[in-house]
Amino acid sequence: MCKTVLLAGLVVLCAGLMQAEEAESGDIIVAKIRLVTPHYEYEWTADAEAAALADAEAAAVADAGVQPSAVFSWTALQPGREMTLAEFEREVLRTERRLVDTGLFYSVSVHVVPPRRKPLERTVVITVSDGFPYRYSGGNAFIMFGRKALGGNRASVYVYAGWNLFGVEAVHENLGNRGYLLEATALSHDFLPSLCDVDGAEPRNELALLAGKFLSPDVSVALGPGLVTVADTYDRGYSFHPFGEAVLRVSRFGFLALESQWTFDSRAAWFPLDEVWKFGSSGSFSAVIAEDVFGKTIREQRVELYLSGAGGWMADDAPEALAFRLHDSGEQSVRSGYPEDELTLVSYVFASAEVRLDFGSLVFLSGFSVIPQLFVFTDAALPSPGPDWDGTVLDAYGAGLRLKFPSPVFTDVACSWGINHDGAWRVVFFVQTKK
Amino acid sequence: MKMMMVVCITVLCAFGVCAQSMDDSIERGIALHDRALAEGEETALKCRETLEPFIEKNMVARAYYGSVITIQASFYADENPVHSLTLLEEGAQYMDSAVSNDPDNGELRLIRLSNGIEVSRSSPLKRYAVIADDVRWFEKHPLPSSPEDCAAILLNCGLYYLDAGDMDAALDALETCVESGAETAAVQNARDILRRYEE
Repeated sequence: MCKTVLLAGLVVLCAGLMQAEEAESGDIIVAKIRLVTPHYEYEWTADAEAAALADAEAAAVADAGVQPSAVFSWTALQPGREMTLAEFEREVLRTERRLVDTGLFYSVSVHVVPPRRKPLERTVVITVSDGFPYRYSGGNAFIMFGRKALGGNRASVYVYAGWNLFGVEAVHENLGNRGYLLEATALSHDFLPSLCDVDGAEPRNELALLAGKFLSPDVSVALGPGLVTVADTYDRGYSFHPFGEAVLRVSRFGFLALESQWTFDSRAAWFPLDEVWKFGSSGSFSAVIAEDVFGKTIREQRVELYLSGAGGWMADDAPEALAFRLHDSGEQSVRSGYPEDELTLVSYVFASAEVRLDFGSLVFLSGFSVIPQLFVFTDAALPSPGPDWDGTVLDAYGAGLRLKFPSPVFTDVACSWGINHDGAWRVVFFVQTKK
Repeated sequence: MKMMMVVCITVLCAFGVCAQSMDDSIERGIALHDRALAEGEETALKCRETLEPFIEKNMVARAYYGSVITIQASFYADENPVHSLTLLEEGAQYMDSAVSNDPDNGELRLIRLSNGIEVSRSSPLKRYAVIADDVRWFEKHPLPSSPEDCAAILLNCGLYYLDAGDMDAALDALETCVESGAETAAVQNARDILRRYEE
C-alpha cells in the first residue's frame, strides 16, 4: 500500500516536473517593440523601415530627447528573437530595471500586450519620459558637474574641480548605435595641496583610454592604454607608470526568490616600464529582504542586504604608487582606525557586509527628496593572502547613516563610525555619485 | 416695512450678483487653466490671479489653482528645475488640501488624479501613493451620468493602472472609456493608448 502511494506520488511529481519543463521550454517570439516617448513613437519590427527610425531619431534630437537606439541598447529583447516564456518575462523586468537605473527618465514602464490573436507572439511597449540629464555632486573638497545623454545617446561627460581633485571623464557607450564603448579619463589628485606643501600630499595623475563593446546589455569588455604619474612632494620628481589594461564589467538584475542586483568588475593591467602585472576584481550582491517595514503609508522603507567582495594582486616588488588602497576607496575600504599605510597593499582579499534600513523619504528645498538610511557593517581584509599569509586580518565593525538623494541629484552621502578588534576607530565620510 | 423689504431685496440682489460674479470668475479661471499649457506662463499667471480670491471658500477654485501652479512648473523644468520642483510641491499641496476639505467631491478627485498622473510621469515628484486614494474612491462610487465626465474618470483610472503595471485593469478601463460614447479628447486619448497596446 505504502509502495503504491509512493509510486503514485513519484509519477505525479514526474508529470508535474515534465509539465513545468514543457512550459519553460515553450518558445515565444518577440514580434515587435513599441517605444513611446513624449517626442515620438517608434515601432521596431524585424522588417522596420530605416526611414521611420530616422524620423524618430530626428524628433529625439530636435527635442533633446533620448534616441530610440539608445533606449533599445538597454534591452536584450529584439524583434524576431525566440525565447522561453520565463526568459522573456525576466528580460522584460530587467529592461525596466535597467532603464530606471540609468536615471535618464522620470518614468519608465515596460509592458507586454496580452496576446489575443497570436498566442506565441509578444508585443512589448516601452514608455519613457525624459528626465533631468545634469548631475551635480562632489566629494571630500571637490565638486562634480556632469551631463548625460549628450546628443540623445549614451554619451556623458563629468568634470571635477576642487582642492584635491581636478579632472574630466568622457564616456560613450553606444558608438555607431552598435554598443561600442569609448571612455577617456584624466584626473589629477592632490595638485593644490602639493603646491601648498601640505604634509603627505603627493600629486598623482591618471590618464586612461578604453575602447570596447557591450556583449549584452549587462556585460561589457574594454581594452586600452593608460598612464599613472606620481610626484614626490620633496624632490618634485615624477615617476611615470604607463600601462595597458583589459576590463570586464557585469551588472545584472536577478529575480529568483528575491529581487536582487549583482555586479562584477575585473581588471588586468600590464605596466611595461615597471614590468609589473596588476589584477583586481570586485563584486557586489544586493537584495531587498523586507519592504514596507513601517506599514504601507510611508514611502521608501525597506531592509536591504548588501554584500561585497574584492581581491587584488601585484608582485611584492611593485612600486608603492601602484598599490591597492583600502583606506579611502569607497566601498572597498576597511572603515576602522588603521593608518593609511597599513591599508596600502600589494595584494589582498576583502569582504564586506552591510544591512541597510531605509526609513522613509524626507523633502528638502521643497521638491527635492532624500532617503535616510541607517546601516550596520562589518569589513575584513586579508593582506598578502596565500601561502605567505601571516594571519593578519584587518577588520572593522560599525554603523552609519547614509543620505540617498534620488533624481535629480543621484548622490549618496555616507558617514560611518567603525572600530577594529584593537579598539582603533575612525569616522569615514564618503560621497558617491551615480553616473 | 416697505423700507425693510427694499433693503432685504437689495441685500439679496447684492449676494446674488456677488455669487454670480464669483461663479463667473471661477469659470473664467478654469478656462484660463485649460489654455495655460498651450499658451504659456502669462496665461498661467492670469489664471492664478483670477482664482486666488476664491481659494479659501471654493475648493474647486483651490484645486484648479493648485493644478495651474503645476502647469506653471512645467515652464521651468529645463532651465530651473529647483524652482520647478518647488512649484510642483506647492501646487500639489493646494490640490491635497482641497480634496481633504471636501473628500466626497468627485470633481476635485478627478482634477487631482489627472494632474497627479501627469506630474508623476514628467517629473521626479511621484504622486502615485496619493492618487491611489482617488482611484479607490472612484472604484467605490458609481460613475457620473454624464458621458464626458465618465470618460475622463475612466481614462485617468486607466492611466493609473497602466503606471501601476496592472495591464488587465488598465485595458478594461480604457476600453470602457472608448465605449462610453462621448466624443471628447479623453476618449480620443484612450483610443490612441489602446492602439499602442494592440498586437
